[in-house]
Amino acid sequence: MQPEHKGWDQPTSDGDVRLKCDSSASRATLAGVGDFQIPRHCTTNDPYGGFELQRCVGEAMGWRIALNTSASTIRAATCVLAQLHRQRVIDDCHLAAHDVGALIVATHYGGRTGPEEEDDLAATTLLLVPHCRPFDCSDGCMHAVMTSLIGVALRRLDGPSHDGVATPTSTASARDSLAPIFSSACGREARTASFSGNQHPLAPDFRSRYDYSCVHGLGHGLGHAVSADDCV
Amino acid sequence: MTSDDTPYDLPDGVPHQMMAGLLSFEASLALCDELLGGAVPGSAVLDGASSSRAEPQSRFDPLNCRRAVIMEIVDARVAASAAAPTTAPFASERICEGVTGEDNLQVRSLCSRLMSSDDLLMISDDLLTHLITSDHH
Repeated sequence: MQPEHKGWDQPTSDGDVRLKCDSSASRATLAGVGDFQIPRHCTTNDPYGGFELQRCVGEAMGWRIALNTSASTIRAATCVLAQLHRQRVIDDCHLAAHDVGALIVATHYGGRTGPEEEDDLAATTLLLVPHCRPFDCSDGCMHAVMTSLIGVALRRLDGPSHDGVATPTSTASARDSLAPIFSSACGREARTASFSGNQHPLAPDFRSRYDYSCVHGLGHGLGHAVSADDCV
Repeated sequence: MTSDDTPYDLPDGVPHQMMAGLLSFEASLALCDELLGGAVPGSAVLDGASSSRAEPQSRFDPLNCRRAVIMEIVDARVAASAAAPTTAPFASERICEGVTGEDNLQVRSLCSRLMSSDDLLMISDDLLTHLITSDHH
């Protein structure tokens, strides 16, 4: 019999590991979302648990925590979404987690464009990214948070638009702007924070997965900054 | 597991992260290489990697980053094509350049099909599926 690892489910046969959402040991981490209920209109619009329901649930969860964003609420939100997926209430949770990630960044930076915000991107990255846990919802939260943060950084570099068309940013200035975000998101401090206190036997795999997901998130963010028209 | 009353003031929709046009395609791929390849002055991650407790650079695989860039672009093109069927097709050669160095024959094969096919949805879905499942999950 394997020892119990506080706050974690036992590994499944395929090696997956999941953060418990419903155990007494982890109940405290659900503060803020433990009583989350799917809004009625979500199921009315998509009674079959498909794409629309997933997005609706993600949006509701995102707004639920957007004004109370912390490590614990981000973890709890993604955990609950993953649980809803496992319970087959929603058919997937990747896009729902995306919406959570996008909303918490948008709320954090909404309307805040002053110079006092210039230096906090790396700190905000460290606050948000590690707590979108790998393994939950195929990293949807982490990828969306990184994409959004990269967007914030690149928009700051962007010169005045002409007729609504953005001026492409130079690679050098983009690199200098994004390096602190990458360092914060994918560095040791973030990775350690992501599984702090974890004594899980699959911790090495977790580290590897975190690194992979973080780099992949960087790519999503960079790709999102490219105009679709640039590839025609 | 539903509630009759929505306790939140839901907006019209999730604020979409569209920021197209801030980088060129080539610049986004170059940034994958520069940010992950160790040529970033002032990067704490990479500075740390060169310390006495260095970690393998393979922790940060530029190809992983490049794949994600391409996935985003393919996804955007699929969406644009669905919204406007007259949307111009991929400049497939440029997409395939993005996987330069890719030693996975399946990806190369898919890229070749991408270059020669008019069926954007079929190819992009195939490519995405492969890229997502190859070593992502």
